[in-house]
This record gives sequence, C-alpha cells and structure tokens, in this order.
Amino acid sequence: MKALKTGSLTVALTVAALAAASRALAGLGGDISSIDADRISLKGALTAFSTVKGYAVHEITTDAGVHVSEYLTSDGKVFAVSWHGPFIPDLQQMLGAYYSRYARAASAQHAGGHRHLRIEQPELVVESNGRMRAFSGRAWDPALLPPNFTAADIR
Amino acid sequence: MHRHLAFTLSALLTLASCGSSGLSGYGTGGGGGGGGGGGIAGPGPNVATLTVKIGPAGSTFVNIPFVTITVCAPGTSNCQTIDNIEVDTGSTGVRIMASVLNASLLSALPQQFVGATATPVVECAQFADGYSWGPVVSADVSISSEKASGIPIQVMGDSAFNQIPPDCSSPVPNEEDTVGTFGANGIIGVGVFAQDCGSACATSIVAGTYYGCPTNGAACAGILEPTNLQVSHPVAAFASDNNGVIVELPGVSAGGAATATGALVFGIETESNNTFGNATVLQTDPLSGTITVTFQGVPYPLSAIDSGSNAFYFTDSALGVCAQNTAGAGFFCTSTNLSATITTLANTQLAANFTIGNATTMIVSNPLAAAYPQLAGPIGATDAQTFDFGLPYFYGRNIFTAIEGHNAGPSTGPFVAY
Repeated sequence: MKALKTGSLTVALTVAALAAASRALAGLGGDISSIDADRISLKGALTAFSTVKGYAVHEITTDAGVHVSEYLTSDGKVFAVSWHGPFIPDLQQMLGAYYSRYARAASAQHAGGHRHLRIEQPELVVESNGRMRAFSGRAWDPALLPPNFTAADIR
Repeated sequence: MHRHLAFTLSALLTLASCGSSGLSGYGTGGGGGGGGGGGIAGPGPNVATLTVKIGPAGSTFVNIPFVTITVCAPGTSNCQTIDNIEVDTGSTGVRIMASVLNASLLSALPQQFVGATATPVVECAQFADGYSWGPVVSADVSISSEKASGIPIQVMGDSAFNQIPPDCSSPVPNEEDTVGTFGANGIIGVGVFAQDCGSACATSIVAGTYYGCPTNGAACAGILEPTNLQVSHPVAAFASDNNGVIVELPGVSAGGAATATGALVFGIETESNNTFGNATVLQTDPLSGTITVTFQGVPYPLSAIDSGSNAFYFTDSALGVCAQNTAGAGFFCTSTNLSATITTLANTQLAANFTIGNATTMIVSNPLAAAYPQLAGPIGATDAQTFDFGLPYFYGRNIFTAIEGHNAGPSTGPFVAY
C-alpha cells in the first residue's frame, strides 16, 4: 500500500487499483474518493477545504496554477466542479461519466465566438469562459444540486 | 450567432422584397486622426485596414474584425497574401489555417524541431470553445508596411499531424481546424502577452500546450517550450512601432451595419497617428492579462476588453434572455443602458457605460449585418469571474493594447487604454 497524504486527507490506495479506477470514479457524480483521483490526474495538491451553505468544497491547485473546486453533497457525492486559471483543466477527468455528453454538445455549432461556450442539458450544465492565460468555468448536474443550493453558489 | 439563422432570415427578407440593406451609415471618423485623439487613422505605413464583416464561407460569428496579412517563407519571395484574418486582442500569435495556404508555401515554412532526434513541435492552442492543433513553423509575417521576420507561428489543421493528443482535446472537445469551425482563415493575436503561453510552458510541461510529435508515428508527448520558440506576438518583432496596437472602429448605428471599417494601428506613442491623446491607461494583471470590472457591486477579477469576444458577456439576472429557437437565442433580449467600473492593479478607476439591445429584434430587423454594437449575452447563469467587454465596446472607440515589458510613452505594458 502506498499512502498519499493530501492535506487533511490521507487516502491509502494501491497504485494499480488507482490506475484502474481513476476515470470511473472521477469528478462530477463521483464519490469523495474521486477527488483524490482528480488531484492525482491533474498533478495537483489539495490546497483548501471550505464549506458553502454547509456543503464541503475541496480545492485542488494544479502544477500549472489552475484552481479546481469540487462541491460535495452531504453524503459525499460531487455535484459541481469549477475552475479558474491560466489553462483549462482536463475535463474528461473532472466530468467523469458526464464527459461523453459534454463532448457531443461541445462540438455542436455555437454562438459565442472563441471566448464562451455554454452547454445546458437537463442533467448537465457546462460553462467555459475566458482567453489564453485567464480561463474560468463551471459544470454541474442540476439534478444533484442540494436543497437551497443554486448555480450562483458555485464559484 | 449562427449564420444559418441569418440565411433563413435573409431569405425571408428577400421574399418580402425588403432588400438587403438596413446597413445604416456609421460614423466616418476624424479623417487622418487616430490614436487617443479619436477618429480613424488615415493610410500610413503603420496602419492596416480593419473590417468587421461577414467572415469567409462557413464561418458563423458576427462582430469579428478582420485584416489581410502576407505570410512568406523566411527570407524568400515565396509569399501568400491572406485575407479574413481575425484580429484578437485576447490572444497572442499568428495562426493560419493549413487549408488556405498554397502547397508551395506550406511546404516551405520551416518546421520547428525539438531534441536530438529532430522531433517536430506541434501546438495545441486552447480557446474557451475549442482548440486548434498544428505544427509550429517559422515565417515572415507582413501587414501594412510592417514586417515580423522569422517568427514562430502555428499552422492549424495540417494533415501531416493528425494524431491529436487526448489531453489537447479533453478540456474542450471541439476541434477548430477548418475555416468554417474557426470562423476565419487565421488569427493575429495582438494581446498584452509577448508569447501565447509564456514562462509556464518553458519551466514545466503543461498539458494541452506544446508537444513533440515523432515522425515515426509514435504518440506526441508534451515538451518544454522555451519562450523564444513559442508562438509569439508579431508586433513585438517589428523593427519599429513594436510596443502594441490600437484597434480603431467607427461608431455603428444601434440596429447594426453590414460592415464597419476602421484601422489596426501599430505602435503606441511612436508616430503622430498613435498618441494617447486623452486615453486612460488601465494596467492589466501581469499574469492573467485581466482587469477587474465591478458591475452591480460585484467584482469580476478575470475581465477583459477583448476584440476576440463577439459581444458583451456578463451576468445580470434581471435581463431577459432570448428564447430558444429565436434569432437571438443565447443572447439578451432586453434593451437597456448599463454602467460598470473598471479597476486596475494601480487602482485606476474608469466608468464604462454601454447600451445593450434586444438581440432577436436586431437580427430580425437587420439579418445581413455583421456589426451589432449592442449585442450582449449572459456569460453563464452566474459566472463568478468574468465580465467581458467584447467587440461591441470597440465601436466608436480607439482602444490601445500594449505588450508586456514594452514602454509606451510614460507607461509600460501590459495595459489597455482608451
């Protein structure tokens, strides 16, 4: 077993199990262990832990300086992710099981030029904004948003 | 905005015998003026004609400014003049679609290599709505009478490099390597940064940026790319007038216009036609190139004044969004006057007043227009980071963009000014 110390979390996983599971567990819709899979995949460190309206938010900062936040329901499921920084992070990792529908929608014709992309589906909203060295965005599943939690609370 | 919508509407208009116009006149500038003194610069060695118009066939966006450039194999007369090049103050570097380059020139542009095995360097250029993939080559780039010799540029969509790394496409899986998907024959990024990536890519391997792609067909791998080899600001490589640009556009009537013709002026405080006049300098963040815009009491720290953004994009939940399946879908359908405050690192504050219109009304009323000065849309339900003064804010203004580390009069880039 290899112990991976991540701020306040210490997660023990075998490297082999991690390699096999990291995509499946990843990101949006995943459980709390997926945050560490994301952290490893994004080559980041867990840099902050906070709460918004009582819900846990884990912030990962990547080597490249991108800040990624993952929002958890009270039973430990990732219901939203957000990012800002000089690059757009690997959304295949962060969107997990939602990625394929994101990919289909992203390649459809859109109106916003090169600075904005907004995808809105019943179970997935993705917003990608910005320009070289200053990107930001968010993704969430409206069906997973906890009571009293709105999109405006995803920062 | 989807051009196919405009086609549909224009067909309706033709049936109704309304003709194509509605292209009401726009301001004519000050004649020989330019710079911060207002008006559009007249012809000159440091002035290129800038036109907002419908882009090349297949492109779908409005409010995009275009220029014509000439690309040559370095030091040779193997050259090609290419129109429909998007002018982008929100990115850095020249990128040309492989499909518009003639075969002779494409094969003559020297490939950049990395390592002892001479592995071709290929770039993944990230945009918020997609990516462009293609090799880094060296070229002479000329515009008006200015010339950047032997600078690294990107050739987008070169079929010689057709294996796109997964971590290039995974951030925004939308390849924009054709004229239609990109919306232009190429782009000239004249933003505040000297290179597209900068020191980040020189000091560590960053996913989704620079790659070495072996000629034996092995998978591309991320590489370190020194700043002097990165796709770089063409203006910084000019012999003179090399500290930045001014985008000068006339005012456009509220309902829109088929075209708007202005100037892309090179240099700031280097000639009589590029002086500050009464412009206010807004220093941008040295790392992100952004300014902070405060709107309705909320600060947006990743904001910009950006010719590569085709509308005002911001958050205001009080504004109505045009319904799906209407011409203005995705944009605001409320007409109103608004005001924001721009605050820079140096604590300079500047009021920014602007007017937005009903997107569906403007498009239905004037479907053939390419210049819509009141086009605005939501940046997301409530994006916490960005307020985007896109091209509509440029109409009727002369907006300076100065390159990092370059002096311009009493100021030093990076800054924007107007």
